Amino acid sequence: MDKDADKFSIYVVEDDDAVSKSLCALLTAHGFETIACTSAEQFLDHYDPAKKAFMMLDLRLQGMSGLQLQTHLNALNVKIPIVVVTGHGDVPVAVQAMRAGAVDFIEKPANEDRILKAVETASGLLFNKRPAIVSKKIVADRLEKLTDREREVLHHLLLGKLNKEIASELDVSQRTVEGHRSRIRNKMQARGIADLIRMVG
Amino acid sequence: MSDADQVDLTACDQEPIHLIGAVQLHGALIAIDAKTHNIDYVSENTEHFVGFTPEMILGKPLSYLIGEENSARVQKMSLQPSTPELLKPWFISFERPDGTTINAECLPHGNDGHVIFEFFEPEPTPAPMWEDELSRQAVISELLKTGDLNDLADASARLIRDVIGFDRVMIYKFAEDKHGEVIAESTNRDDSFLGMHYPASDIPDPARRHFTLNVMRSIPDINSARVPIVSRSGQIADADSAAPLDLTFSKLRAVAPMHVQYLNNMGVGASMSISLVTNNELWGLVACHHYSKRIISSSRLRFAELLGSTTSTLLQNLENTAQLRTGIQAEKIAFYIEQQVRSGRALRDLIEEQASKIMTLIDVQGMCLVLGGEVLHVGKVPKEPLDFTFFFDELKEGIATTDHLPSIITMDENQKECAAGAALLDLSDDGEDYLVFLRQSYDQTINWAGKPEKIETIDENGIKRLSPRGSFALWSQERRGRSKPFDEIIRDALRILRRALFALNSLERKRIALRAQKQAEAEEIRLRHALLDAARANSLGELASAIAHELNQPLSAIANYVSACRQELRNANVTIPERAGVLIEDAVVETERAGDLVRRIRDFITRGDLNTEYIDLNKVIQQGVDLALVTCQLPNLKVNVRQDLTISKVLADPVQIGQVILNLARNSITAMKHSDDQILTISVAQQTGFVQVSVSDSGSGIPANVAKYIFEPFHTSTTKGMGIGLSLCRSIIEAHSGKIWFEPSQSGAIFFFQLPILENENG
Repeated sequence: MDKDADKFSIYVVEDDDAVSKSLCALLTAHGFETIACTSAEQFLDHYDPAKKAFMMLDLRLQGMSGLQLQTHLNALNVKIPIVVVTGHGDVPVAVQAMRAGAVDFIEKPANEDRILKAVETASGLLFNKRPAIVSKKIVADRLEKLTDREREVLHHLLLGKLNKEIASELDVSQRTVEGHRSRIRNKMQARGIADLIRMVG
Repeated sequence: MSDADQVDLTACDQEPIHLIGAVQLHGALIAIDAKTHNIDYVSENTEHFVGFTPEMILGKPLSYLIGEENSARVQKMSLQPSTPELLKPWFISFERPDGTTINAECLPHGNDGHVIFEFFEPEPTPAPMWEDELSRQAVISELLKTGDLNDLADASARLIRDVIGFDRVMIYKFAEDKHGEVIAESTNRDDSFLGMHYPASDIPDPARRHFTLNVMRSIPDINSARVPIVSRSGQIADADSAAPLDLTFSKLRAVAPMHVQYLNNMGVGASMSISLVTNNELWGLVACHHYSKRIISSSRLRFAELLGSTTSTLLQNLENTAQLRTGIQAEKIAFYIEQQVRSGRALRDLIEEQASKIMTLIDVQGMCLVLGGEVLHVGKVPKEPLDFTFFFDELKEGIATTDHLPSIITMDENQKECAAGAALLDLSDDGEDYLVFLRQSYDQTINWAGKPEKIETIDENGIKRLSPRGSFALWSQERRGRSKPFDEIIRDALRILRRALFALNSLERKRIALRAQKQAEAEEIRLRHALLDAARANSLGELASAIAHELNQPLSAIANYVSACRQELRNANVTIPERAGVLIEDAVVETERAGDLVRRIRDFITRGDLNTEYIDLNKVIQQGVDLALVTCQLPNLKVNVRQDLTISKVLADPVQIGQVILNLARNSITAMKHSDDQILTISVAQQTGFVQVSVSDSGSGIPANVAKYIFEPFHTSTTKGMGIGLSLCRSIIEAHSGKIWFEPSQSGAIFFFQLPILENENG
């Protein structure tokens, strides 16, 4: 196998200096090539379509936002895989990004494993390795196991709602919502919202 | 029956019955000039009663007839007629020309420059029991014992009949419209007139006047010949002559032909009447009928008169008492309602509670109350509501009454049945609140004393005869569709009630207005507090959100660095000591824990859902600006709020949007602190698909280095606060799917935001 054949780069689009540096450091330590961009505009400047690469994109950027960049790239028909990196409060936006084609999303702060998993998913795409697609039949079987209430909670999760919002809407405690969430994850065999969106979103 | 044939009873209204120029046959009349005492008039029958023929005494001095002594007494008599009067007989004796003695009973009275003497045959001795003091007391005490109007009328009719021995004695009561009702009857006949009503035309106005002035009237023989009165010139002293004699106060006055016919029609042979006068008004009549002629001795007559006047006096008392009692009852109800209203109960509820009492008191069957836009019906009211507009025109001092509502407003049959008569009380000056009482027609309320029979009969001579039954029928025809009239006593009660209810209604209106105002004020304050509370909560939420975001960055960096560090060591083939490996792992876990903690705090404080409704941005803008100005310390600040009342409503949370306006306005005000011109302008305008609001100031503007971060938290361009105001504005507007931005202007800055309009649901 050609050594260069599985070589790829990661654009880290992140306006917080420390976050950008540390993420690049971690990825570099694992042997990945990183290209740091402090804004969406800078990414557009540096982007080289000839390069095999994917992008770790922070959604909150000054100037053009992450979401706007994604829309822009979609419009230009630039098919670069995007892993969305987001703060906790921006989950609805992340869900929106997933819908618009992002391959995964990571909530800050994320541990090493989570980050590596996302890298694996995104880079797989570069080599036509689609992320394991769960068949519709299996998804339907798993959905079948959910209670009505759990299905309701799932619906809200897919809209990117916070536990607190779901709790208030269903008139239950946040703890109850957390319980539903973990049962949903188990029954659907999903690690997080990203998986859920891939399956049913 | 055509109009031409109709028996016209009002014809006698024109007849000057006091100038009839004749007396009845049972006495003689002599009139002297009040000054000269010369005899000016005599009736042609003097010879029988005083022993002189008219020719012998006409033009002679009175002393020529009755002697010097008697004549001198006349000088000292008080002769002016008084009302009510009692017959004051003068038992007189004088000599005939042939020397024999004449004993006569004489009734003298003065009128119109004459003294009139009426001579009757003296009663044969011994004096009947009526002259006995004790008997009189015994009879009168029977009258005095009676308690109410009906008792009194019954007793009066019975006692008078005992005294005069007539076939029938009836007590009439006149209503305000002058029609009469038989309220008591004593009779030895089989038929009864009790409860019957007679049209006002049965007693023409001139007769009515005479009834008031001349209380006692006796006609012993309806069909006896009239005896003319002649003057010194030999002419009959009637209305057609040059000098008619006024017989207003005469007891002997001859009967008008119309009245003779009327009585004959009823088959009456002798008649007597005593007027019942209360408060100088003709209240009623004691009408006595005998079915053949009957001369009553003057002592019986006098006693009957005494009974009549006693009845009048007692009636007056009863009337006054009834009026007083009705008035007191009305006052009591009014007082009770007033007390209850003042202690907080609703006027409407109280009127409803007291309705049956009030309706009984004023003798009505239905009631409509319109108060504060609500309608209350009690008792018998029409199915279709009545339009009282024209009835309002009849109001006098807040009250209108009628016994024939259909002649005032348009009504259908059902309405006419329930509301023949009505009383209207206005309860407010604007005509919005009023109370109407409804009286049913007589047809429903009257106790008919038998079916009205034929109005007229034709006798063998072809003469039309009017029967009393006919009279009754006439009356009922005339009254059809009318109610019993509202009399003065009831109107007084209505006035009392109306005065109280009107005052209480305006009190209640003021109270309601005050309550509404207080409520509006409280609502205003509540909104203001809500906005301020939301401002606090929003700031806290935004702060939490901002902290979460800002803290997450270094936490991410730490976790990444530590993990990278461990990996680099591995890459360098450094064997990480087991304890160091654990410590590295702990550091990573701790950053995750810190991240989790931040998430929990943020979750805890974060805003709830938006409470959206369709709102008018103009209002929300005004509220936000008002609130911003409360803490404003710029005395020269000019504020322009450019409203546009044509904009669509938007689906938004008024409190949250108010918060945005408040923050933008506050920022602008702060930015103008040191400006020469201090002008804050807030405009709203509709554009395709959204409503746009702009807030512009004449302040220092936004420095280029700040502009980039202006909506980020903790980047403050003002010295106060945490710098999350605009960040919060952005969160709120974005949560509404709107857009917020700013543009520099020639002087200061303009902030814009847009909220989308949902086309299909525009309220």
